[in-house]
Amino acid sequence: MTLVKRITVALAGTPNVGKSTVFNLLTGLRQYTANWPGKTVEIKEGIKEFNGYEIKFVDLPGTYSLTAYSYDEVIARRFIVDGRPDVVVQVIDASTLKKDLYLTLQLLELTDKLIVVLNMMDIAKMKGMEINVAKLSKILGVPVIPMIAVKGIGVEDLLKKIIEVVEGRVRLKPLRISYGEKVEPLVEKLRGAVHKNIIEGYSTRWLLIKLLEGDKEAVEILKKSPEYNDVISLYNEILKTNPNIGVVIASLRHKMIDTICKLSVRQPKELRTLSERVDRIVLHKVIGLPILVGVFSTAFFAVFTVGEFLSDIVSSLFSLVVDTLVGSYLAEITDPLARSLTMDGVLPAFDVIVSFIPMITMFLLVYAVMEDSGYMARATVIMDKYMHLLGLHGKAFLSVLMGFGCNVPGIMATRGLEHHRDRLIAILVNPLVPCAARLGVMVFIVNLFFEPFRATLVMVWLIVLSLLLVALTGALLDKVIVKREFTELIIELPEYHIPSIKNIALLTWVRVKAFVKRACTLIFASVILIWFLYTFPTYEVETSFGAQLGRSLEPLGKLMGLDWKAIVSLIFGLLAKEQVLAAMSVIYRVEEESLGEVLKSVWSPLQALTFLTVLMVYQPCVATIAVIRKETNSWKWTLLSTVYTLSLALILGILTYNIGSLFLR
Amino acid sequence: MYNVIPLALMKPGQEGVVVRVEGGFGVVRRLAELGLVPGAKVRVESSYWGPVVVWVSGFRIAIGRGLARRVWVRVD
Repeated sequence: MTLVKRITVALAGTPNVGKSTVFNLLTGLRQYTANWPGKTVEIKEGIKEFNGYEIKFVDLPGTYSLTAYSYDEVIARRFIVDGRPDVVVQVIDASTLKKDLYLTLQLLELTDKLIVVLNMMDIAKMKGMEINVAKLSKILGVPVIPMIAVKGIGVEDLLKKIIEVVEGRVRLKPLRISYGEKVEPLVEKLRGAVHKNIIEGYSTRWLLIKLLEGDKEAVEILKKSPEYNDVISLYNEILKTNPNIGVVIASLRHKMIDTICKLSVRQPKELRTLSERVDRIVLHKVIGLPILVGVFSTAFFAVFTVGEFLSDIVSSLFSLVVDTLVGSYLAEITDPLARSLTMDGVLPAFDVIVSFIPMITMFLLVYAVMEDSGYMARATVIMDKYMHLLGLHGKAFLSVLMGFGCNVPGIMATRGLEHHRDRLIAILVNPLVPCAARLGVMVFIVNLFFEPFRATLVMVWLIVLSLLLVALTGALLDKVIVKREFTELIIELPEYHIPSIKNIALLTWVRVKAFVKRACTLIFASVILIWFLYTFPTYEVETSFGAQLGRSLEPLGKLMGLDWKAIVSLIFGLLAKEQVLAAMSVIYRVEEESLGEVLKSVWSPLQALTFLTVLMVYQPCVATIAVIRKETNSWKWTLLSTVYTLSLALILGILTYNIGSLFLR
Repeated sequence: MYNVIPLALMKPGQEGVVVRVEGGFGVVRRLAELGLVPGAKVRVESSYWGPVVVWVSGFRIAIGRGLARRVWVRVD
């Protein structure tokens, strides 16, 4: 029996180079999203067996550079340094070679075992570029593999080369970059302050160059060195005479890239690509917006209308299966606890999850198509100015839009945000975007209490209030969370691609799997918890722990003119906001059809308005809480979000009731 | 005869050479990493209320208008 040799290969690359296609091609279905503690970035890992090796591929986040500018860059860099992969593979889009070589130069400074994959060779050829692969490989001093990933060409070559590099059968002479007379003396000067290798695992030269580039993490790493003070005071001295040293280094790298390209690429004068012509229309100042509205209406329809349709089918199938397979067993359960647990706890919990999955799948599908095709970047450009009115980043647009349907996909849609901080803000404001479930309850109650004209005003007010809260919360978080240096938009407009079905399907599959695994267990547990609250100790809602809680909160409710019954319904609403109506009919002991009449007899219009205000503002549902936990990977932020929305709801409820009393009495 | 104007004021289709980029350390370096360095050739693709789309060394990026006001370009 031969022993399987395990190796790790990191897959690096700038965004939009087809890296995920290469990753999918290599690992197929044997991939999963890795749970890196404390990270909000999705990192995929996958396994490939080849020639007696078990190769673990780690798909690093797409980055343009390896300076600690964004969270993604820090993660990619740390993995290359601390994860000690056996080989680093950089995927390059051959048709935009120049852009990608910037990352190559930085990878060469960080690792000796680099393989460059020139993907999209066909598109480069179509653009009229002739790339001398052998020459490029010789200059860089590392293997270069041409590839057309969408057609599967070049994958075998890459795998073979990885093994050759691991076994030391390839001579690697990585390009050593010299920064010339302006920078090298400064590096030497800094090196003079250092006696030995300052930090284990890091090359001293690399750390010093990063320091000159003003890299904040490099400073953090250097702090561990006993020579830190000497190095930093020397660095500050250098900065006084060379304030632009970071830009000088970047410029020098670009000059080097120009030289590399001159030697290895023959290129006719830049042609106008099809994408550029398409963008004249898509980004047009007049027709750009209607196109965007069209695209996103379709997306919204696909996720929520089609999603709900599928949910209904799946839900009926689920109850059919339950009835036929286990129905007879269920009927035999006589123990009241076991019966209640299965009928009112476990089965509804499964039902909630089962009906969520089709919608989440549709959303992830639409999301993958938007990202893969390149349209997302255009939408960001068009929406940026409007989103800034809400205090959010242009890339948060999809998240807010989806939030109107359901906050769960809304929160998942924040994945496109590059900075941890921007993403956190987008996640935390999303629960305040009124979802369809809340809007449904709102329409029902508003129409009971107000005649049509006033009803419209009230609904507009509630929606405007929600959006105001989104904007205010965004602005508040922007102040509170440590600011990064700038917030302005910088985004690449990639060439348009027709998304590959296989790629999209794989991407969606892996993400749905991760959602089921991480979020659904939490949703399940929460539903059971709420069942417990309303069942124990007496099997009667009115005397349950939940009702006792509601009663004990009545003094708080009085401040907003709400009795314990209203409060209990609101607690029930955490299950899912549309459940509020069902909960009320249980508590008021009426059929759902006649609930309206009863409510009209017990509430004044002002109480109804107050109830709705609270309903709109507090945490949407347990699924939202679960997905916040999954996406932030932090209980702290999950708890904070819940406490924040609850307090906000309370304050606004009190304000609405008391200010309203002045006018409506 | 050369004029140096901010990127934000260039018209769609207009070309030029970057002369200087103003702003904080991080943002200047970020733009530099994407190829927007002094000496780089640029062409404005679209520019109206909102971000400016600019072609630079073989690909296109969109940058916020405020930022585009601080990128100075020499045009004919």
